[in-house]
Amino acid sequence: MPAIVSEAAGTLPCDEDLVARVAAGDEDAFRTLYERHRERIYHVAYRVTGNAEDAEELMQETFLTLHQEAATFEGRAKLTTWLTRIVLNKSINHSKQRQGRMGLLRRWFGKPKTAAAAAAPDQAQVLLDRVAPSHRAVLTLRYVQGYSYQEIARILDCPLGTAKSKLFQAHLALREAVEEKGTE
Amino acid sequence: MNCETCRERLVDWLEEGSDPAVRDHLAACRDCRALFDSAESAAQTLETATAPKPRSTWKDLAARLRPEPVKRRRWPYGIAAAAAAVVLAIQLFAGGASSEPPRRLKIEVVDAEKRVESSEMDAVLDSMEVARSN
Repeated sequence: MPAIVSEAAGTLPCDEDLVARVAAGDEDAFRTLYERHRERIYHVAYRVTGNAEDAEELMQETFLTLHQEAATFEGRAKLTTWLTRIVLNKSINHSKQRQGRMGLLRRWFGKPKTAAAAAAPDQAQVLLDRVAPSHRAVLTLRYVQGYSYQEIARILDCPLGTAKSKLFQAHLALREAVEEKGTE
Repeated sequence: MNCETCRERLVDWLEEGSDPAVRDHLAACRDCRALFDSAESAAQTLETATAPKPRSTWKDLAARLRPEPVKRRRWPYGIAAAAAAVVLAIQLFAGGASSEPPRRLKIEVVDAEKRVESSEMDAVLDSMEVARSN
């Protein structure tokens, strides 16, 4: 069945209506939401994990979470805020676990090149790969995705001042990483 | 303005870039200027990042919504028929060699701690010998 592309009234259904339909078991509504948001969700996961395959998996997991928990969506935040929060948490957790596993291998075999560093076309990813997943997350939200500070605060579920502080810490970490790289 | 206050305004500076007090401090402080330049450069690099496209499609996700039920593994009919033929052939061959019903091997479990008298052991060995010669 195709995704819902138009309604009888000629306007596209809003996210909140579609989520309500998903909660009622409407698969076409779910597909419409998937097609509408998949690229943005994938991009966030890709920038935080730095890995295309992991990002694919995390994107799918995010939509599966939406499918399972659509009934709990209360509409207090926008759906994009909710989805972005889900994919960020999944991506940060995934990256931390991966870093833990890679730590031992790195001690034995040296630092592996990431896909971005190996191919070297994506300067943004090379930059992001130098800092911790939580820093990557906030940098991605602000500069790659273009969210305002207010929106970032909503996604991270924290006060505006805390969101700004996190971004400041991310910039400091980035600068330290760049300086360390320069002295290597 | 000192360095600490200036750095606290980094994030707002990146957004607006119009704070005269920060501008004055940056003009005089090399360290803070280096940090602000680095942050501006990083922001520009990230803002121009291309968006990679996901390769997976709706079909991939839909397949995960309806996981296939676990199927019981079935033998293909050919293999099952061949196995049945082999079993039948063995039974016919074994049954045709003798008209007597096949003897069953009788196994007795003896308690290892139970002491077996040598005379009893001899009787057991004799009976086994008789059984083998038959």
